[in-house]
Amino acid sequence: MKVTVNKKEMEVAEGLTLDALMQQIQPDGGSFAVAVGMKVIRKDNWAATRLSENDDITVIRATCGG
Amino acid sequence: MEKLIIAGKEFNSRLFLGTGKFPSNEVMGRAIKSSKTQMVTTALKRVDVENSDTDDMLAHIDRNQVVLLPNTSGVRTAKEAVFAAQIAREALQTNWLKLEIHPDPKYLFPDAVETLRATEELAKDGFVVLPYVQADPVLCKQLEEAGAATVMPLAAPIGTNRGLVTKDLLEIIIEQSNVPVVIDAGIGSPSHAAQAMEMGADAVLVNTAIAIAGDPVAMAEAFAKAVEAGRQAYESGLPATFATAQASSPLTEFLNL
Repeated sequence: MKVTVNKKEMEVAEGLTLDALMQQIQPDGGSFAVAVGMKVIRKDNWAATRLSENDDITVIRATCGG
Repeated sequence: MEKLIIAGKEFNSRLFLGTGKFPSNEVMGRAIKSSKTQMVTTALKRVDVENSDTDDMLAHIDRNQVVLLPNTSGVRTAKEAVFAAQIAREALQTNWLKLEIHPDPKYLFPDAVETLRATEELAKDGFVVLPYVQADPVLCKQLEEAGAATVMPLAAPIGTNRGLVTKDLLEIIIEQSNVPVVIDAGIGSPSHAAQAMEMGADAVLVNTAIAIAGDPVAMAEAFAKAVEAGRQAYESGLPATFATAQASSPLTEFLNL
């Protein structure tokens, strides 16, 4: 199925969990957070979160700014 | 010097530092130290899932020494700001937030209506909200009533280094406010910062003027001194000004032989 991660389309396995997706992506730099649609998913809920077709996933981290 | 208290937390330093535009994260880290700041802003960005980012800015910040203040830069509405706040809270494990909603890319002026809406919602959700706003005395009181922990009116547009362009309005905001007033944006030199502190501002937030200076680490120290001097002057009670000369030496008339 197709999902988008930070506006980029990805083909992933049906019913993939968010936890599995994050292991696939492995973002660098310790502090990041994830949302599916407009809902922020806490890290301890990643494993229980199954992705659906066309889910829009946002992965963010801190960067320099004023 | 009196301590600054925001949402029950004490700060010895009244200089807040933004982390944008430094020549490197390493220089930024040294400027944070030389500024003696205890409040440092960060922005948020989408992770590039295809290319790794090797230099994590957070590695250059000692979170035992400073409060991290994530901002919502890049959002255009209250709804987007609330989402950014929630994702920042999860990423950085903090409920402190610099709320900035500026849809206008030329002057980066903040949207008052959306900022007030977002402040109401975020304060109810337990965030410590520090909103970046126009130097608008009425709006600042409304934000205070909505639960803002401080107000952060602008001195001049972001990154312009033009100083206290809104001085007359800032004075009214300071006079009326029951929450700390942090002068944010436009402060371009230590003398601007000192002037803001002499006026009774509770703190200043500086980024560009330090980050793009010839020597950002030394400039950070210069700002720290100016903020401290300005605050000390304010607490010492600045003298009145006079229209006519007031002799500093006794007029002894000894030349009238």
